[in-house]
Amino acid sequence: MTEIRDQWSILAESIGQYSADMIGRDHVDALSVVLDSRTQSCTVSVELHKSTREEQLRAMRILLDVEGVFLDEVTMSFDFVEDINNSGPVLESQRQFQAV
Amino acid sequence: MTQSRDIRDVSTHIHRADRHFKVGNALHAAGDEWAVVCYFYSAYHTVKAALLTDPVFSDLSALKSINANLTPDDRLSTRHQGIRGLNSPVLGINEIVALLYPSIAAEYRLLHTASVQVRYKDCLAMTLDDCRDYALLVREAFDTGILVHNRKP
Repeated sequence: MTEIRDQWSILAESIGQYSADMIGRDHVDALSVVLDSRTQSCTVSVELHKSTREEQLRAMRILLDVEGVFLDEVTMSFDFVEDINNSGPVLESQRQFQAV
Repeated sequence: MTQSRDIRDVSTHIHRADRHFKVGNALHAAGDEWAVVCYFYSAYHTVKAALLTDPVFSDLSALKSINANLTPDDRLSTRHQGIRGLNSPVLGINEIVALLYPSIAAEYRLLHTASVQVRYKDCLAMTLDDCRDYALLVREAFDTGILVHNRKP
């Protein structure tokens, strides 16, 4: 059976894959995107491999570049978390991407 | 009773920035994570002062060359996050800082993230020292005249 995906789930995956690639998979233990299609806003949560000041600054600079790429489509907020599985609300109208 | 009003002048923004930073330091000394919220709002008022003084907002073509959705009225924006889904997207302060002042954008956004963590999440993923340093960096950038679009540190 073919999975039917809407533009928002595709956008969430694009943001997630691009963010993880840009930060570097070896710097990221997990990354998720929660996208609310009603408000066209999303939160990118990042579980860094090393949660140091330098790594947070480096990741944030990259995430701001990602924000620039998707600026016309969504507003973005970011979070750094200790455990990706214990972060982020899930509503029916939201679309999820997660990479571990 | 005194009535609150929007701030439209640089000196009042800087006064509020100083006030929030001072309270942040007092909370920091007490080990209270709410210091972070004060540090963020200190940076917010500093950035608001910069937006009021940045000549780029008097040059519509320069604004449009940075981003088609930037307008002169954005120097008076009070929202952190932008709005999408409208005919013309509205940019928030977070996005405007990233577009105009890249030298402080990561530190400013980390402060916003930390402020959200303290108010809505169950823990803070940064140290109070880091957040104080980020607020100081934003203020030093303003004081040294760096918070003007395209001016290099």
